[in-house]
Amino acid sequence: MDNLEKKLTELLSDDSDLAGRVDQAARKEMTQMIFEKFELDMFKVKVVFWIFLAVSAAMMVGGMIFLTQEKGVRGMLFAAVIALIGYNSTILMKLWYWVVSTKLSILKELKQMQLQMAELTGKESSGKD
Amino acid sequence: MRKSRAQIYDELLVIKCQQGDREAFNELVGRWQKRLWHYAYRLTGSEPSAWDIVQETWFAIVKGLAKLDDSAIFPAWAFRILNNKCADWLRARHLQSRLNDQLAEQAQEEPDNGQDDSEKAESLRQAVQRLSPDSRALLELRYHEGFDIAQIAKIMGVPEGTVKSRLHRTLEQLRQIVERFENG
Repeated sequence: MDNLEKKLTELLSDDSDLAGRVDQAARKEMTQMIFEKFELDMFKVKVVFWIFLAVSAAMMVGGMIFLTQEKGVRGMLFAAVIALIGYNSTILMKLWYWVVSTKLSILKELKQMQLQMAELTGKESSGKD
Repeated sequence: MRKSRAQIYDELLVIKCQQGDREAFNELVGRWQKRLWHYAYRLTGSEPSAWDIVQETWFAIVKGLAKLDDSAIFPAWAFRILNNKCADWLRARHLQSRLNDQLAEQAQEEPDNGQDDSEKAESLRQAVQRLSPDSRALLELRYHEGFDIAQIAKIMGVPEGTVKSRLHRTLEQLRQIVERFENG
């Protein structure tokens, strides 16, 4: 890093000109809006998941009921296909949910472990100093 | 490359947010809002616009957070969104051409003689402010936010070679202006 780059780093790292400009009220209001958006999006994901699961389950149950009541071969085949689609969709949704939640749980555990190791390493090196 | 505790903690917060943890999201916003706002403000120079851009950026982050595969790329990803929003804003305001004109004017101006260190720093600050928004963004990302070339390339959506050449060109431009100030 040459002299100009060092000067630039010092200059751009100096936030003193911006310190007084951060409007705390605007910041608080915006944080609230972002938080509401996050909650709304989380709610939407949950709703879509449960609607999809309910539709899949309804297809499966409805298909089974029609299959037992239908007399014609074509009708029985149609009902069986619907039931199978519903059955598979239900399984796939649950599988997807399990895969995603397990992946995130493992990643979270790994990061927590990494964080603890970093903290321990930091303590050890500061202890040596 | 060894990650700092802050980086690992940010990654942990991103993962928790993907799990739907409200408190983690609140903390993530708290940790990143100021940095994002400063960047937006430095590029736009307008306080309310910087808030609007940061808000839009957060909305985009909320929308795309679940699809983010690697939590480690969150900083570069967030800054890429912010950079695009700033670019949209600047394009809308036609600031690019105006600032380029200012830069050309600045290059023709004769600098004052006998400046001390603080005046030199002020000259450098003014020179940075007169750069094009793209160059300013590049300097902010490199020397303020501390991103490496690969990360800046991802943020700006250009190849690494382009970032290197732009950075070199911008530094040369600044060096010339500073030399002119120093030589009087």
